Amino acid sequence: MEFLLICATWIENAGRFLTLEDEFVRASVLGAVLLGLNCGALGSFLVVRRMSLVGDTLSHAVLPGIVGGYLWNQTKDPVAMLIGAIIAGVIGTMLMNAITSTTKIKSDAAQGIILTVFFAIGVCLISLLPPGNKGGVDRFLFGQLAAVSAQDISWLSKATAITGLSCLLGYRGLLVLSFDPVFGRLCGLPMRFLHYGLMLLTTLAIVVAMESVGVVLVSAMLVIPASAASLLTQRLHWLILMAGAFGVTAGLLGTFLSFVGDQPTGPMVVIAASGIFALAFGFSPRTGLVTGWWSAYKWNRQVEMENDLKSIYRHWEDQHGEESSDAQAHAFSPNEFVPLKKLRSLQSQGLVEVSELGGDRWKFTTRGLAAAQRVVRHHRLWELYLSRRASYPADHVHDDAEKIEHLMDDDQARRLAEQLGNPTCDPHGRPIP
Amino acid sequence: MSAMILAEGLIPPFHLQRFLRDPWVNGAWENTMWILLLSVLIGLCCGLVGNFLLLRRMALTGDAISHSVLPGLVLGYVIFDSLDPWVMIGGAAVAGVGAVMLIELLHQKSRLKTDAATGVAFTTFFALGVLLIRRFANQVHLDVDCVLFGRLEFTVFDTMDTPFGPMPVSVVKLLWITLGCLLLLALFYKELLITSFDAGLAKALGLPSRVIHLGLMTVTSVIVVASLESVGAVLVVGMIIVPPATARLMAERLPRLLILTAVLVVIGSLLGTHLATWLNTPLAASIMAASGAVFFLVWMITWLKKFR
Repeated sequence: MEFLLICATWIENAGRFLTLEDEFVRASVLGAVLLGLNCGALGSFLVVRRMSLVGDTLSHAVLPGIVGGYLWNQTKDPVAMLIGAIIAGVIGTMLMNAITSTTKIKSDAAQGIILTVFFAIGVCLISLLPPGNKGGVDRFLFGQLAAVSAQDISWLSKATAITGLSCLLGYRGLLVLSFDPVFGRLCGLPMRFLHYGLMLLTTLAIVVAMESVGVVLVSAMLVIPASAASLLTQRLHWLILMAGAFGVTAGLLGTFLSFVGDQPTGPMVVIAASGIFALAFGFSPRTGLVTGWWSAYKWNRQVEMENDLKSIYRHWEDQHGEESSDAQAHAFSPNEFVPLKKLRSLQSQGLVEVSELGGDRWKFTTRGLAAAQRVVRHHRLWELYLSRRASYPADHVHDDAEKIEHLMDDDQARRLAEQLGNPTCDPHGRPIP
Repeated sequence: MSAMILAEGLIPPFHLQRFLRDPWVNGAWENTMWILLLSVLIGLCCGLVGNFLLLRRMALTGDAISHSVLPGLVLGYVIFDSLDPWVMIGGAAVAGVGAVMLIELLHQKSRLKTDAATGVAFTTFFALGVLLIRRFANQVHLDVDCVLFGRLEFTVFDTMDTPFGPMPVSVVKLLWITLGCLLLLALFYKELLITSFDAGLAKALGLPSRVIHLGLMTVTSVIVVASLESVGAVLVVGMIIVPPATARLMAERLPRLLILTAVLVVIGSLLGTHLATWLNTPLAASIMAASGAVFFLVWMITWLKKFR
């Protein structure tokens, strides 16, 4: 009963969400979409440049700037806070570069230093604020997507527009920066300028997004959609578009789930993004985990099927020898090599059928015979090739041929046969079908 | 800007005598001593593992672990229904090592780079943790604020009886963990040294690199959790990275690195405690800011030395 009530609430909430009748639902959906688009697209550059954690670093490092902007005139003036954050972000980026270039400290440690020390300074500055003034700053840390104001939306859309415009205008430069900055410098492209421009855009994206999802979760939006997209494509423009799309999807899905289940929005958006990532990780056509298992399974099935057909064929060949020109007419029974179970599975694939002779006799279908002959032909051609061209002794060629017979295609087999002068017998004296 | 803050009276004017003396006069000194002891212990543990993480270029794995332990903490509470610190440490260690293994899985089973895998894994764990906290908010007395920023100044008030008189619970906990870490270091010094500096040699010698790696990750998780309530998820990363990085500027050899780290931890804690008393800022953040200042100073000195 209680469960039904909960379900009813969920459905009611879902209805309210989908009709977009509430003002704040519209605002938070718009906010999530813009945020996902902006962070997703920018994140693809970070992921490609192996700087994914720079987002995390910058999102913590801007804290003193935000508080400083707040201290500037003691009001929550978004422009002052934004300027402060950007100054802090730029100083952080420059210090990071300076540390890695003047000392033997590696970039990961340099990021860690900037992240924690800047964050600590920010926390100290917060505590200097007069009591009662800390609310606005607190929101930067945890975010409240449900309480996005019209002003936040306008900031988010401006930032997204700037990102989109810069990506369009500077696409070539950013492409070179992402994959081969040394080449870019040799070409005379302003690599340093592009790098700092990208960091500036990232800082901007972080600051305007922080209101909505909070410090930690904004770095998630920079990394997760872009990582998911990077599993699916290797071309930069597709990566950017897909990462943006994933970000938008995660934003929509996350706000929906959080509204329906009455959960905090920021973490829910991240969980939605992780869900998308998990799908990409599992089912990416080329590198997916499940896709890999599935193709391995299919391959094993295929090999097993071909081996079964081959052993039936060879058994049948032993029994009947050369006198049988019409192979299909000759039936065979289940035996220890090919038990009834396997015959049934081959039957379901339309490769063998029950013979009309009756009495548990089976025969190949036309398709089955062709498939069996094909495997045996590949096997014996390879054996012949190995013994003639690679001078393998005749008793060593079988195991190798067992593997290659499944991989060879018809064209290769034809060329092999041509090279060997269209032979009729393998090294063991068996006929090549 | 600082002039304006001064004018508003937000920063008290600097007074050297008060800066140096205030933490130690009247009733404050005992408290200061415990805080100092606690922060030095935390710094020692963190600096110890931090040196090895830095050598393995895994500095940000510390960051990942410190965020990933959150769901483990909450689930530990919920499943065992206990506030026992060892339950928390166990749950968090499981979550921390789980996150590290997830990062490795993501890295190995796809063409994702380590940094992206780290970013994906720890943010997901953290988001799960925040959701779990909200879900079990009435059962779990975990304060998100406390997890993020830590409350070094309050943890020392929670005392327990020991053979040496009443001592803060967190100090006792950290003492055990520091002793454990030092013991492990003494036992596995050679293995840690070789696997950190030369993975190839370690493999050739047949050292169990994988076991040592996972062991190091477990120890890191335990230390992170034990320090979490005192310094918070972000600043514990600073404790892991900053003093060892400062030591790296001055030394090359591991024994010297370890000793220098310990010295730097003591200096950072002392400076931070005084800074916090003067400005009335949170202790953990002040200690971190002071350590950052020490890093900056050492960096500048080594940099200037190049021109001499």
